[in-house]
Amino acid sequence: MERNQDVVVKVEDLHVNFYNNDRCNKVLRGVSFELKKGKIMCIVGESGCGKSVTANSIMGLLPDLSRIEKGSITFHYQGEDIRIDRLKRKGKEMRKLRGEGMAMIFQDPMTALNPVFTVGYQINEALLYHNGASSRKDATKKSIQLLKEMGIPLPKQRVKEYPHQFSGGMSQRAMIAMAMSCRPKVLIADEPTTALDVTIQAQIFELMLDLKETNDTAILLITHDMGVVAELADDVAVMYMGNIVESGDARAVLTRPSHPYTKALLDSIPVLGRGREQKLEPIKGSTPDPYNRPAGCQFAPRCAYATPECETGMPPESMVEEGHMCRCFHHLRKKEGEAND
Amino acid sequence: MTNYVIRKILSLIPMMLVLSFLIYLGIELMPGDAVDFLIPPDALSTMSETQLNEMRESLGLNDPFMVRYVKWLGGVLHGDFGYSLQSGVPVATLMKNHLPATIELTVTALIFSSIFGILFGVISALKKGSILDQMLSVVGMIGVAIPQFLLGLICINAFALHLNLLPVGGRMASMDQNFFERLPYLIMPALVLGFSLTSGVMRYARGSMLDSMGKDYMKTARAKGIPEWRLNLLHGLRAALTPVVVLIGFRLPMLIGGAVVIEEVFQWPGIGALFVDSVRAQNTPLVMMIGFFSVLLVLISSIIVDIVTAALDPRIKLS
Repeated sequence: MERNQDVVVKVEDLHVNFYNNDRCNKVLRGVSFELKKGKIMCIVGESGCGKSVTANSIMGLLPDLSRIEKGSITFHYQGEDIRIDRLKRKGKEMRKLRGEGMAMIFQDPMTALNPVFTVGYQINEALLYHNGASSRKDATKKSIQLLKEMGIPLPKQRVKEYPHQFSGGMSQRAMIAMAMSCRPKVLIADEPTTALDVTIQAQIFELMLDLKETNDTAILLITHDMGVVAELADDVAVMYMGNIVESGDARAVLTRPSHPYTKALLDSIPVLGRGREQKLEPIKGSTPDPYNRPAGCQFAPRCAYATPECETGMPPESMVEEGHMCRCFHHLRKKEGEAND
Repeated sequence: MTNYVIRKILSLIPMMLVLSFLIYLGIELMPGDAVDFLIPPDALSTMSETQLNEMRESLGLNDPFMVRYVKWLGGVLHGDFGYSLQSGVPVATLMKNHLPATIELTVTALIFSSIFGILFGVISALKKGSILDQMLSVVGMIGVAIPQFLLGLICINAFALHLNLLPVGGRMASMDQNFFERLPYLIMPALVLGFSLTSGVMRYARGSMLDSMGKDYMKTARAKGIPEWRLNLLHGLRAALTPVVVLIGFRLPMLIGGAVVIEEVFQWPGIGALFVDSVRAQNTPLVMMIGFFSVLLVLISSIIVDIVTAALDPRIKLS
């Protein structure tokens, strides 16, 4: 199989459905992307667009009443290509990958740590389960080292403390220490700074950049902060209602957005320094009911450029430029027009 | 911690004083007195007012309320708990004879209900929505709803009279039987009492466990790749245990007065029947003593609950 050596996780045409009360929510409708070694990939999009579901699919942490209907997730690990979509979510192989091959940190670090165990115990657990440490003593030593690496002062004392004695930023550092304990190939961060204040955010992101450099970890960062994307991302994928509508090199997507949704997103962000006279363009309407989706392009009802063609079906992927993809009929028409000129 | 316990125990003293006064006052406010109860109606017709008065005088019932209370309190502080007005037996002897029986019964029921309540509650939570969960819920509802005496009678009918497996009632056949020979007597009353207590713990444990299973830290733990059993039993149950332990802790006072009905149904020679009788007879010394112990147990339980919750949950500090 031909494969780029740097690709760690390859997601292809992923379809995920959630089931409840006899209804079916097609949460992901064909998501494809690649995570590369030592690169940060950002997924941006509104709430409910499928960002977290994508992350959870990779981790095998989807809820019980959900199913991967179509597509594949391939994880390149220890010289093998592992099809994560085929593994049992709670099975032994998947458990081995979780924590060892890939790790995840979450939105609110204050609730993500178990309040009744010490921080050290919780990091040790990851180490001991994946043979990262030979004994409890050894694990504690490594935990202290990890906390130190994550920039936690007095790690020897901190390791014995309980999560409620940690501040939000400290907790997130401890979470990252836990995630990085077995040196995973992939780190998935699901809005890791939403619950933290701005200065702490910057510190956490700095830490993540550091990890990327030193460990060559592939990082999947879920966010809805475009500033974070501009700052950190190597690649970016913009999601809307279960599809990646535009993706590619972060700089290219941010400076030359091709999809009307990406453009609209960027237009709706206030820019510091432009003063109070700046005009913000909100996106008209609201996201459609996931149980009652538009027939064609999901963004069509809110799109300024929509034509009857947009209601016929989801537009195919088209190349804007090398490594920059977009799914939009409007963009296709423009390209054809340019070609005809 | 030691400081906290010492302070708490010291604070028991004024509380006990106030509460003992209130119980004494309560008995005083009931109409009539012990003499009215002790004299049978046909004997009453032949007795003169002076004779009755002499009886009252000899029992010390003619003293003013405060004087009697202080006398009683002084006796208790000297280790003299007085005599039962009904039988003339020292209160201390009565307590010594009846208390072990009640404690034997209630402790067994409490242990039984705590273990099975938590066990079934956790199973119910783990299998939420399954047939097993629903069955346990129904059995739990029955446990809460069915009157203890009815269940007791049904069990006596089935297991003692028809199947002849267990004795109908009582605590032992003779004094020199050892614990294991007495065990058959204990089984039925303890299980009937335990059954109705189990369902409460079960519903509580189920709710608490479900709550804990939905927490973010469970997802963190799952993302670490640890096995499901460890995830549920260690991370889930450990955090879910605190409220359940509080519930069980506050049931400790039941050790003394919680088995009145069961003791009656199974002719268990515990403190329940004694208590009911003595209240009816306004047998002040005995009522005071049983009441005193009950109140003390309530207060001590709350200290125990405090200590145990602090031990279980690192966020709680005793100070």
